[in-house]
Amino acid sequence: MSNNGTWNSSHHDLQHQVEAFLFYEAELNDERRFQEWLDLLTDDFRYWVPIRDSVDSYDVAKELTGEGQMGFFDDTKQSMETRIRRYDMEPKPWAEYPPSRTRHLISNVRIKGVEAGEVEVHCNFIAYRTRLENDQDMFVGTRQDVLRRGEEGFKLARRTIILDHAVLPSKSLSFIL
Amino acid sequence: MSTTGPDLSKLIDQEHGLVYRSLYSDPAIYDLELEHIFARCWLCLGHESLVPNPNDFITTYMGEDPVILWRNAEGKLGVYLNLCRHRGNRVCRLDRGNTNRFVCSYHGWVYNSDGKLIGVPYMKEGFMNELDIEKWGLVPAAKVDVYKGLIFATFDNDAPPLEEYLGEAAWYLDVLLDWTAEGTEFIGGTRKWTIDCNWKTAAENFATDMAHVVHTHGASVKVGLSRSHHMQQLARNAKGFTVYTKYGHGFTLMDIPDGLPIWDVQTKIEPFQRFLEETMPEATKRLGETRTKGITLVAANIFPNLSFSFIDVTTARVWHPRGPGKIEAWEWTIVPKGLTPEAKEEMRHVGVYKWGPAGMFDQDDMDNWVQMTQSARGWASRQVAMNYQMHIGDRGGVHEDLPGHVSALYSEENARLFYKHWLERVQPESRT
Repeated sequence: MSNNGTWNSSHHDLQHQVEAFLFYEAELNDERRFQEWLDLLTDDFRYWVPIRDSVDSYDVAKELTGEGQMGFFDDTKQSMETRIRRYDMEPKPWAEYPPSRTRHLISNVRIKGVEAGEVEVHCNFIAYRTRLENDQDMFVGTRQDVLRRGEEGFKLARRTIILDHAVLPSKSLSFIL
Repeated sequence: MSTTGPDLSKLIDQEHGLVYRSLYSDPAIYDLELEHIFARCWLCLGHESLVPNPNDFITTYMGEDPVILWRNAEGKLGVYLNLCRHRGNRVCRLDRGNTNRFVCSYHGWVYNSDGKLIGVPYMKEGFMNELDIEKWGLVPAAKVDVYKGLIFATFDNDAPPLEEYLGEAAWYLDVLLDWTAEGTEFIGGTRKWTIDCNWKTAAENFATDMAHVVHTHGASVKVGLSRSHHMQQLARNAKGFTVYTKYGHGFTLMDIPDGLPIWDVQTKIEPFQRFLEETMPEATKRLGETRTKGITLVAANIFPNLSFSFIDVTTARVWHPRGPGKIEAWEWTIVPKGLTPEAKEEMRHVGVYKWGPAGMFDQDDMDNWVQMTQSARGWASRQVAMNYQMHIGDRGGVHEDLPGHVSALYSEENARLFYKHWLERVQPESRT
């Protein structure tokens, strides 16, 4: 798939399908329809959010943590299920009680590759979260997703989130980015 | 009574276990803390594994002062104010890297990794070659020292040696830091996040607070996040101790039959349990049976702002103050060196999942601290005494096997002594 203007109607269809999937997935997340959201994940789903530092421009390849290092999230479908089950526990999951009000804005959707039933797609996002009286957080970054086509349409097989922040401007990441 | 500020002793009633909460919100008190606590205590800057090579550096903070932790070309550690001597600009604006010099972005003054000023533009035309560059190097911390991998510094020339400052606290920290002869390392990556709370709410929580665990973190326990011995015990009647040691440090320990001394882990972290079992004989030789078989470390705070939780995976964090109502949390996962790759990966994974701003355990603390800090701004709220009376009638004391001042598990003695020490620091004339 080319990003430089070689474009035909089949690309157009795929772009549309991918965007529709991403918008639907964001809708389920923002509306807290988490069981339906989980159904969009493949069983081998991986979710990775590395840490970003300010480094010298010649060192920029090393600004993110990688393999064997710490991150903000390193989740599987199973651990995501645990996070979601936690929302309904007593005592309360206090960081999500009352729950976050989130809005995921997805843009700049770029198809990076298509291979063997999988589509690699990058997009930019703003995840706005407000909670309690007046908590306001805005997380901004890029997602690098792998979507896998199945009988019921796309499922999300992999999501890497590259946050633009070094120091997170928030007390918690208690919602699903 | 201080002649220069408020009488802070009225805010802390040691005898009755009462604390008034201006100390979370008053800017004048915060200024006293910067001067008498953050400029006087030994502060942790990180671990040697953050700067392993010559010329490696990280930037961090001591209180509100930006500092550079920098290994020089010969491998010696230095800590300097991140402050150009010309106009006070930061000479380094990066989080980490490797360099033998920093060039100030304003006028181009150049400093080497010994902190020396080695270049000044317009030396001839401006300073008439009369500037004594020997006198205008980066300002070093008064003392820098390493305790078994952890790097500390202080701005106070009169501070006691680090080993004395840690004192009996080291006996407990050694379970972590001295488990194997190889010592420890941080797993790569510093998680940094912002919390609108006073630094003491966080420090106190780690110094003492067993009572919050089952309630604040109850959802995570119940969902089955932690199947550790701790949590099974917590569901019943837990046994254990709190320990206060000189200079403001606090520990929580549990007494768990067949418990592991540290990293009392989730049952699924088998590679790590194997590691512990294999290294236990050697560790017992070094540490003694009390520390390898008698106690389980839960949490600690090294005064003022270095906290640990030892449950499952050890997280270390520093709470950098940002005014009375804000902190930055800088958090690391610390593990023994020499782990099998399999065990290290399990520790890393649990550390990611459990701690940090997205950590299933960590995240539930933050709202409490924020709300406590917010309410400390209200005039009426500040007139209301907060209750620190758990086990006040039984002030604890000596335990035959455990160094320090030992009290019950569900005691607030550590918190009372934390605030006593705090008061002695910020208002020295309050010492009795």
